Amino acid sequence: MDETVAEFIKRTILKIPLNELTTILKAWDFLSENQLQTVNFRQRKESVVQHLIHLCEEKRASLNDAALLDIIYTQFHQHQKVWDVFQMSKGPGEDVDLFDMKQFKNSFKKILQRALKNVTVSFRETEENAVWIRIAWGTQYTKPNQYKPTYVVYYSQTPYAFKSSSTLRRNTPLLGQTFETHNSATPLQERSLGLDINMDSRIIHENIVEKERVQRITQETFGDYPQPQLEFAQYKLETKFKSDLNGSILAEREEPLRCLIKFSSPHLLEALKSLAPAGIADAPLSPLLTCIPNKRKNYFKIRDK
Amino acid sequence: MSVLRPLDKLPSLNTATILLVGTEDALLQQLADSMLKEDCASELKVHLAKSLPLPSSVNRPRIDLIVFVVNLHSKYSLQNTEESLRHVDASFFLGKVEGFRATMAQRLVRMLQICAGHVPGVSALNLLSLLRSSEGPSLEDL
Repeated sequence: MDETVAEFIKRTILKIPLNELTTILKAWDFLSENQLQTVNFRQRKESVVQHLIHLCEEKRASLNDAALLDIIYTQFHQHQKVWDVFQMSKGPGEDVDLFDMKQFKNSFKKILQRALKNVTVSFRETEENAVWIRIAWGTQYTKPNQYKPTYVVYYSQTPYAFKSSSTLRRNTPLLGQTFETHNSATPLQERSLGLDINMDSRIIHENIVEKERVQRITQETFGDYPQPQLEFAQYKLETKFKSDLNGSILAEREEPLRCLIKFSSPHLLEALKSLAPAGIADAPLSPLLTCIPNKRKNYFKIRDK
Repeated sequence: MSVLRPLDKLPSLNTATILLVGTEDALLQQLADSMLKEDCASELKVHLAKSLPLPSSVNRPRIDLIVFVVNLHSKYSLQNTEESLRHVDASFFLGKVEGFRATMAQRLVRMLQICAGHVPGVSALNLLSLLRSSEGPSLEDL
């Protein structure tokens, strides 16, 4: 077994928490039942890892096997990644082609390898008509970096593909072209959601545009950074009573009503920030709430103009 | 104004599509997950929407059942449902369901199968007329 492959497998296994280790190894299905039974998973992690590497060597693990393990690890920890969503659109007058998974994998791999000599492409299919694609990028002169791969999850029965955010941004246009070439469709629209979207393809979100709008407004209002810790905000109102109902006793009252409204929370500003994305309030929120960090105060007196 | 009307599209093979409408996305997702966990012979598709009307640019399959999810603590949620109802033809209406999410998910899946025509002997039209007549079963009995 190649030294780089051994190192790669070792680092991957080290990432896996001990309580997930047997599950992931079983899903990997590379080491046999008999081999796994010889491992004492109660030892110190380093010893477990050493033993597992030894078994992988016995079985002559290849780069492909290692990449597959990496995919499985990522599938278990998909929520730790940030995913961008791509939507493929059909050109005018195009028919829906029947999707062939084998052909897709072959042509995808070929296109990438033709463009970039040094690239590792691996696939893993899942039950929901989805294929996980792992791409490790190299350059003309360097071997692929296995520690900064990009993941693409493509649901073949939908026009959507999810791509993990990668530090190697320069490869995004190439990926786009690869999908383009395969699908012979018009260029991809990038839609960055950054939301925790359920990846089950049987669930379809109708209001993605609205969700994005809310996300964008929330980000514009509150920014990306954590909000200052604040536990309450108080509004003293001295305003005339306003009502849609006719004939309400209070509506005729000339003097302003006095009332005190207090919002309290272990983390008020974070709570306000999450209101619109949670669907509890509409975006944009009232400026009376969002002005708190700007105005640097949380006591307000509100009177009629 | 675009209005959703029942039974105006052809059904898709062995697929039952439900539309969940509500302001709180997390609740819709949870209900969707519960429904998809149910044992069901038909292929389920769950569409989630915040409100109606749905974006018209998308090609979507026939919707067999619409469920409005209302948070009774939220005036915003109720208002949103009222406004969305204007876009649904009155003949769509079947009734309301309350209860724990797990049992609700089960009931909804069964209702959905009937509405999609996957239950032999009971059709969506049957269901509409059964529930209208006062001697018929209530939604809870289904």
